Amino acid sequence: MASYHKPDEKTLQGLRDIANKLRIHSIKATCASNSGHPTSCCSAAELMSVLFFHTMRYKADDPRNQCNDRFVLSKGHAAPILYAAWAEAGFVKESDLLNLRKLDCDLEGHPTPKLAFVDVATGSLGQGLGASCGMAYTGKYFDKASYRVYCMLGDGECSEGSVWEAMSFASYYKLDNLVAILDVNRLGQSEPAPLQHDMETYRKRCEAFGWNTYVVDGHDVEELCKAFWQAQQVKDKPTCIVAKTFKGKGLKNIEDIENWHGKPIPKDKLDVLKDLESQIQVPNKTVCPELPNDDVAPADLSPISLPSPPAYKKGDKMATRQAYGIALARLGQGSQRVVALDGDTKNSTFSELFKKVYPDRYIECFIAEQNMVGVAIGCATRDRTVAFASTFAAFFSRAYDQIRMGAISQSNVNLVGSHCGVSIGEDGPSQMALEDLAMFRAIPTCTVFYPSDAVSTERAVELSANTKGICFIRTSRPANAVIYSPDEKFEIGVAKVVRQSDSDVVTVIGAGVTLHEALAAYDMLKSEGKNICVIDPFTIKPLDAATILSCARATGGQIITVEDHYREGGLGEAVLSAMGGEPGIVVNRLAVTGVPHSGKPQELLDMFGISAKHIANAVRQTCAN
Amino acid sequence: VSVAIGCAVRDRNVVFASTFATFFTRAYDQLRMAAISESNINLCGSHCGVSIGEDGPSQMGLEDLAMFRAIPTSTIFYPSDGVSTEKAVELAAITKGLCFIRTSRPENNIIYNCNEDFHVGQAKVVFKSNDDHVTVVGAGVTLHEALAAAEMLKKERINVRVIDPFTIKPLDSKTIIDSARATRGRIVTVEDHYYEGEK
Repeated sequence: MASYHKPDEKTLQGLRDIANKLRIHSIKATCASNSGHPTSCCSAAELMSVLFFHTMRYKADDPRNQCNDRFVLSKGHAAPILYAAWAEAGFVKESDLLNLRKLDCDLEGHPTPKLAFVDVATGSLGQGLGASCGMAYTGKYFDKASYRVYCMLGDGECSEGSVWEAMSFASYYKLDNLVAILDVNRLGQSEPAPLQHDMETYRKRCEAFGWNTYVVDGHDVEELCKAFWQAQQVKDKPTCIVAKTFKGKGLKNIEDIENWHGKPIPKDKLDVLKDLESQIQVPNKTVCPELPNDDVAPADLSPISLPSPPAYKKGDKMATRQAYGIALARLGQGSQRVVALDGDTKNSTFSELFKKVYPDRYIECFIAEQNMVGVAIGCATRDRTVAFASTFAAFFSRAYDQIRMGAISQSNVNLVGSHCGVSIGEDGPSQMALEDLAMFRAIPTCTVFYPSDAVSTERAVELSANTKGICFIRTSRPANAVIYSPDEKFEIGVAKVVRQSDSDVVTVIGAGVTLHEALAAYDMLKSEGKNICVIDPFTIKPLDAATILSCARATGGQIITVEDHYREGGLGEAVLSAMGGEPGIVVNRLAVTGVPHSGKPQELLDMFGISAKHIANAVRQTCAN
Repeated sequence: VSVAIGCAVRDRNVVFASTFATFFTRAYDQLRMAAISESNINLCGSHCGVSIGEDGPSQMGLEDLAMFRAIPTSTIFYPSDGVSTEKAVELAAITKGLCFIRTSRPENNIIYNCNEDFHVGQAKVVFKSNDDHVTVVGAGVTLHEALAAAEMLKKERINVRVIDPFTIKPLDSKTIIDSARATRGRIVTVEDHYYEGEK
């Protein structure tokens, strides 16, 4: 085992000086913006100094280089000190620090990846460690590289359950390239954090979760240098540095005092700057971080294709959830970067089919959806992987904040939710996704696929892999007929008109199971001498408004939408919204109107008004009016 | 949210749980299950929209109306001033199902008298004339923006009717439709929220 060489006094003093410079930058910046969190920055100053100018190995002029150690500021409100660190490293212009929080500056109140040194946006607490786990997992098992991942958390944010989901995940997967740093500065926003400075309880909790843990004085650069060195020697366990610190450290009459969270230092207390400046012994010294090993190639960004067309015949019965599993396994051939994650539902979502072929590219996340989404987002950073994370669509609601932050993080993660709607049957409402379209439509950057058969599902998977932003694919439990031939082309924002004649009375739009109900309604109505136009939107967002409008004009402006989803925020409202400006268009929306119940799938479709019988009635009603 | 639901079972408490509106996304599964649990909890989400300012998007509620509208049993209050906010809190306490009150960070004028009556599903027409050309529907900060716009437009001899929906769900479609008919079918909606899943 390597032996520890204590840094010399000059180096240690240099790190102390940088810490104070970081404090000064943070205070000046938040004064200039008259908002921000200087006291949260001050507690982290020595931690940031040691990490950025002693421990981490990275190319300061190429922050996003794939070989670099990664740093995630999970306590994102300490953004000013992150920006200050990159200014000291030479990447950010020092004068730009004073443009913090301004409309025309990318140094925002909380970090976003508009900045090259930010991989995931933070600011909503408790999410940085999950993403860090994804990065560390990728480094250890996919890239098999030497880069390490460092994540700094606040003590207040350790009340978030997602932190402990990540703690479990990291030790389970032996992520010894991951270091979590807890900046235990005792004070939260409106009162002290629950454990205050009870360091022993923090130690016990971290050790109970399987982490190699050190409790340190967070303001002693020598202790920190040693702890980070020790972390690098430990195999098979992630390390947690539990740092005892003081909020507002270095600021007389502010340090460790309540009610200073989120407050810039007022003019009458700015003598603290002189105090800090006077402690800096070598003001003009610059420290260059050590470079990383060059042991990772840049990601291959060529488009990823299915190796051959989908192998289905029209009329075959196949559930879209199963088609997803088949598609993902086939897509895995197209690129090494494709990886899959699931939350202990792989035999229901069929992600297990990918796992069978590529066990080394599958990550079981167990029943912890917040963490699964975080890990997926982390895996996808720097384009290291093309990640597909799946569970029941309803359970993505558990991770809605992570999904929301994923968009702000400009993530390209792909999320696949099965068991949508009442059509799942007997398990009942707790397992039924009836609000997921609303949820995903409201996410900027999001593409929402709702394929209705196996062929279109395979193409949705292929398109997702190559589409930027968050992609959501909604899959169903029941087996339905294949309606497209293997060579049918699919595009985002392009609907398919699956039934059309020159005497259509109404345009009916359905998706997933309700597209098949619409086709059954078509047959019923045809036998009565009525024709309807039937549209499969393929993507709910973006919606093919042009096709819908042109079909609607041919049917006297009459549209009926039918969805296995609640009335709000889904297919019907998407169509209403798209047709909003058009005169003479009437949209009648069939949807699930209340909390559903256990029952047989077909019974439920009938009971909740979205079956073929109801569609046909709605058409007849429209004709009668 | 789970603790709030637990506190409210068997009617032991009338519970109000609050945080930034956007952080209710963290508890969306719990909120979804709360409706299936027939819970009567009241949620108050502050710091909605871009109007919070410098903290940036991680703190801004921009999808919360979409989120809460899609929950069965939910009532969504979006009061635009201090008086209507108090009434919203009072109504939430006595309304069954999930109640969500969306509040804002910036200070805005009081626009209602203290004795104004408020009801779930009842909008208020806050600015009108006998010859309005467009109906503008806003809420929270955008109601005040709409009133400012109405003043600007009045100077240009364009009269607009401004509506405060008070509750986004249920929405007072009758008042809005009546107003729209009086303004030749023209409606403009404006919200400090994303485009999708909205009112």
